[in-house]
Amino acid sequence: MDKAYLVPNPIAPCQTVIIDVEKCVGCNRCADHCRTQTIMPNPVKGKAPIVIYPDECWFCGCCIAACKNDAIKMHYPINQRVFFKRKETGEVFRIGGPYSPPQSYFKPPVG
Amino acid sequence: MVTLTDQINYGSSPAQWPYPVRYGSENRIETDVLVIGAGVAGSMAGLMAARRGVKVAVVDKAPISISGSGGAGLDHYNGCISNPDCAFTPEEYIEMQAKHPFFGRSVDFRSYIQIKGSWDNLLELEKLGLKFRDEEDEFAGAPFRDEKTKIMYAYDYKTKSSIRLRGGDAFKRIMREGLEKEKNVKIYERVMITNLLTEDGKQGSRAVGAAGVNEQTGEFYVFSAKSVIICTAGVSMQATSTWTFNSEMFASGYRSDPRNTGDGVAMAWKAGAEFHSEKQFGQTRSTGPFGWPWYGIGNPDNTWCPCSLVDNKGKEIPWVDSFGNPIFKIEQRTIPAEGQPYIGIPRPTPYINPELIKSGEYELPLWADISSLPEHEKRAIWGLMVGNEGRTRIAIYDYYNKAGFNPDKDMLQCPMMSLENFGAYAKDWFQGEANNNKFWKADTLRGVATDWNEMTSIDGLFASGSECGQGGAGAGSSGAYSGNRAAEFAMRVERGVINEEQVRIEKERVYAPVNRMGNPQACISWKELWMGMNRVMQQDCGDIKTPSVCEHGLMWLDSIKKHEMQMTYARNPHELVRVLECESRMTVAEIYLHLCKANFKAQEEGAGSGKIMFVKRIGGELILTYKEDKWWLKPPYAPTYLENYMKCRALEKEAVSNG
Repeated sequence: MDKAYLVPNPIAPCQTVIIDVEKCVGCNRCADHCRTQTIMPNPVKGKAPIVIYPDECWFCGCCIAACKNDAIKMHYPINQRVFFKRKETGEVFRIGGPYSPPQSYFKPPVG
Repeated sequence: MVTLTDQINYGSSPAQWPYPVRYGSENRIETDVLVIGAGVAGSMAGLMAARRGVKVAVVDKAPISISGSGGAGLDHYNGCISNPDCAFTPEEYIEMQAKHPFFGRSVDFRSYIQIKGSWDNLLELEKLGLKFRDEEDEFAGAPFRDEKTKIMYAYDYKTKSSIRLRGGDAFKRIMREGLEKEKNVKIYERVMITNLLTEDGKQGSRAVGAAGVNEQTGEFYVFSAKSVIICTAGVSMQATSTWTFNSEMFASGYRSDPRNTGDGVAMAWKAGAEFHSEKQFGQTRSTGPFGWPWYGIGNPDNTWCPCSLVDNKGKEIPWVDSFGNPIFKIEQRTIPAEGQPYIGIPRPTPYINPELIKSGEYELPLWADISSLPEHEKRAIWGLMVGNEGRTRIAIYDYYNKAGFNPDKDMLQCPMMSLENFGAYAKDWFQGEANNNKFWKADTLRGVATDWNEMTSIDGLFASGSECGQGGAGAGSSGAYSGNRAAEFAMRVERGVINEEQVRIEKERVYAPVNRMGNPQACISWKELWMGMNRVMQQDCGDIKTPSVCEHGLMWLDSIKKHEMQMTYARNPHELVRVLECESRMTVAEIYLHLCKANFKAQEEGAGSGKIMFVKRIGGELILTYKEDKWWLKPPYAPTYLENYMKCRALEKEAVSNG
């Protein structure tokens, strides 16, 4: 509680992609599939990669598609979280917002 | 001594760079054809050149399986006019397009090369493993599906000019696997080509290779080649942010690959290649960093075509056709209007009368009511298009589904706009507030000029894909075509000599941001350099264009180049490549201003009225040349598109039959 650090400000408003270190096996497939080097391998072998340049993330999702352990989540910044409305009930939700309904559409994408 | 750059952003002891750092270490590669940039165009160019039996080096700044604007997927193959079921032949279509108010400006032989080869290219991709037909019969009976061929069309179901890709998500992975199978191909990834090498190191001389740097190790590369193809897109896809840039989240607002930084056009310009002149440009459209996620906001257009819109009370917004006449059935949104040969642009759209918003008849916000569409349209938008389009499978489809969005039950909110923009025909749905700039005012260059062989004015230097004005799916056919032409060129010439002095100068430029790290003066970040360039363009290449403002802009850029650009620092290979990309951007900004200047010069000299102007800069002198309108159908060329095309591909046919 009483510790504080002299650290730089966050480089981007949000972290863009978040790696779950519990699930990550440190294979670096995500880093190998990142066009902007937003994700870089950890210098310590076997440890989770580092999201070092979130400001350059294109939100292309290639890292998530490359991950075999479902260890990466995309994090949209607040300003990009749009509303949707359930037609039958008129309820309004926000992508990534509070009170979101559970996933109810499970069809895989076509192809 | 602790320098200023040591202190910047060092809150704690930084981690070690995860790759071995080998600044300056040289790799010398000898090849026949060098392909710079392996997006859709470059990958096809590499493949086709290799099949002609020459050695090919394919170089990309990123991993080829995901690189380029098509690297995160592609939902449809646009402009596939040469498919046998299209209502028009490419020859008929090109004539119609030339008269189109939107396309007319840029229709030339390169558009023809694109549409003529697009179907063959799609079949080639199918052989490599791309699945685009609805083999699973999921869309059986849908009005956009051909029951015999199982091909699914988009936008204009009658003309059948655009083909939806069932497995477009894997587009680039398939291309990379294809390249890997070719024994003549060597792949170089994470290597940024920084400059062309020319005979005797002179501008305007034949291209003999290129130099580059690795963004992981910092190693240096020197390629010697008999012919070179630039396929680096450049500025024709609105991505370089010449006018605007946000330092904190810049890449998220880009429609195309953020690595699209204009390197190709910059190096071609520096080598003295001829460029298309431009009449009007300024201010970026579609590159705001805080727009909505691409294809992830309610709208009725593009990937979301033909989605219905309703107001906040559920009242449906009526549609109009391309002529503004009301249409009442969903099916009418995807067929040409009465008397219209094909839909083209503008497409049918909901007509949002601003008066009805003012009067309260329509309550905002509007919602895209995907759930009300027939099943085939709903699934085509959400599963087929959003499921395969670049950067939407994970970022929209997967993300929104997990967040509870259900296209069977839910409507997605549309962006708010001013009343004026709601009423306008063309709206920028993805950026929220529509941009009032006209299309010609985009951050768009038509780029390097080429001849019928897609060769630039520099001997041995070819340009294809968006680099020579052919974006999107057509990049593939353009790439395949130029790959063949560059291979033929390589077969008939001797290898040129690399000028070592040019290599030395380039190497010094490339490593300068690293070498000046110990210098306390080196306090400029690549982001600062970029934003500095933006301000020049905002002030001196905006709405007001005069000869003096233009000169002022060039003087300003030159002043930054000589001072602050010589103070930029790079603390690792990543930052080094970013600085070099910003140096490309600086050159792109110069090109815009020189093209402005060329327009004034032409006016002054009273030259070239009714002709097509080209601009190049050699030894500091701006050189203007002119060609007749439609020069590509006049001597020494044949009078028709088809004849010229067949003539250029004649050797290719022989090669195939001999094989």
